[in-house]
Amino acid sequence: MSMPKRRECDLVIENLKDEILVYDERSAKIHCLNGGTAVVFRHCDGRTSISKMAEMLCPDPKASSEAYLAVGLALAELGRLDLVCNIPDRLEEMGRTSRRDFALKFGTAVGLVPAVMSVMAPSVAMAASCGNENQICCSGDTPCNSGLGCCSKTSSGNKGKCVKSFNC
Amino acid sequence: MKKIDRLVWAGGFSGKCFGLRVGIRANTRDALTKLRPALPLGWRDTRRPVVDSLYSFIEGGPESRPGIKRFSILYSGAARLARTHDLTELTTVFENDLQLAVAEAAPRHAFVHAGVVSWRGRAIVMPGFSFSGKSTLTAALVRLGATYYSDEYAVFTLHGRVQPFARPLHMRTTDGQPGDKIPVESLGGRPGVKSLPVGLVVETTYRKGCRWRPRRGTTGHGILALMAHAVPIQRRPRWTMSILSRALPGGYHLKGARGEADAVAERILSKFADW
Repeated sequence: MSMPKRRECDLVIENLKDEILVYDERSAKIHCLNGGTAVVFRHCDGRTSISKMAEMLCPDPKASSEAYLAVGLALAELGRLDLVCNIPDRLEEMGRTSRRDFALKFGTAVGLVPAVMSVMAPSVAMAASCGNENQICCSGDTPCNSGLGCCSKTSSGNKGKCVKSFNC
Repeated sequence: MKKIDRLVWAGGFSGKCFGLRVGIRANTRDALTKLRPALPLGWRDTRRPVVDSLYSFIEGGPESRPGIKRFSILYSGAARLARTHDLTELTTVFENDLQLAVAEAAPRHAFVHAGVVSWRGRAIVMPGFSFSGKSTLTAALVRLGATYYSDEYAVFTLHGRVQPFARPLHMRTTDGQPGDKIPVESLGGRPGVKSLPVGLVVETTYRKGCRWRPRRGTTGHGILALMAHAVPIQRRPRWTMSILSRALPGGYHLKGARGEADAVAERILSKFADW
């Protein structure tokens, strides 16, 4: 049986003390994996079984079912983000359990709740002030200050530029 | 590019800005002096002919034939940035493009779109998108005694420390229009001079009438907030991540929408920046 395995290419991984940061070059998204998810992700090497991961997540045998469910939730989330493949179907179904349900059911094991926070990596244009005359257009409904229009013809590359509309 | 190279160039100069080598050439000597005031912070003239980025400026003006006025044109490499009769517009385009080019390609500094002040030897970094209220919050902190570092970019060194980028504050008017460029001294503050470790990352956006109730995040969340506004992240993800992951070893992260800047600034300094 194949074990969960993390994607080998187009991922930049930075290990922090308890967490892991992952930059996905395919989707240009950055993910922050919390402690529990980081343990699971680290062991997605294609050799470690799910029960072994659960044991590593929580060595206490009394909390084995909670740990197993936490691993399932983490794997389902990692699979959804396309960071891990070879996830068994039963775990994908398990992923439908919400983190809230998990926390309510296993209140004592709330520290195991897997969580991934994701943000889009900004383009150069997004990571700069925008909207003024001759500056790059902001995203959203009002890309430019009043009296200006967003014009992609007058700028280099794909960056639109805010200009007086008659200049575009 | 060959077509641009074939034109007649009266002169040029080169310089270094945060390690990026930039060359500027123009069709008249007078035109070069007009671009000088638009050079970014950290600019240093050099004599090296080899550059990473080259700007070419053709100054227009009236022709010998009556009724004809030539356009002024600005190129970055082979890409045309501006073609206009308005020289102010052209210098603004040059200033914005050069600043962004430096922020994206500086080889030894990671630029994050953020306001920065220092307080008791540590930096408070406020990353955010345009119109999120970074400059307003930065100004409020400076008025309360914090040292001004930047209202546009947090500049991280290879060791994860923040360096000053103390340009005049660009405040917008209440309707979001560009306002004046305010020197920090007029707020009663002073610009920072040395690099500092980060003590606090405040991720916040102005929302009218909102009460600031920040949630405390983990180190990872703080670094994620910085990366979400890092200029070179798409071009050099591994390098940017490795620098920013060193930026928050002992610091922490606060997240939440805020109301008026003055009250928030006071709470940040009295309650959260207690190192």
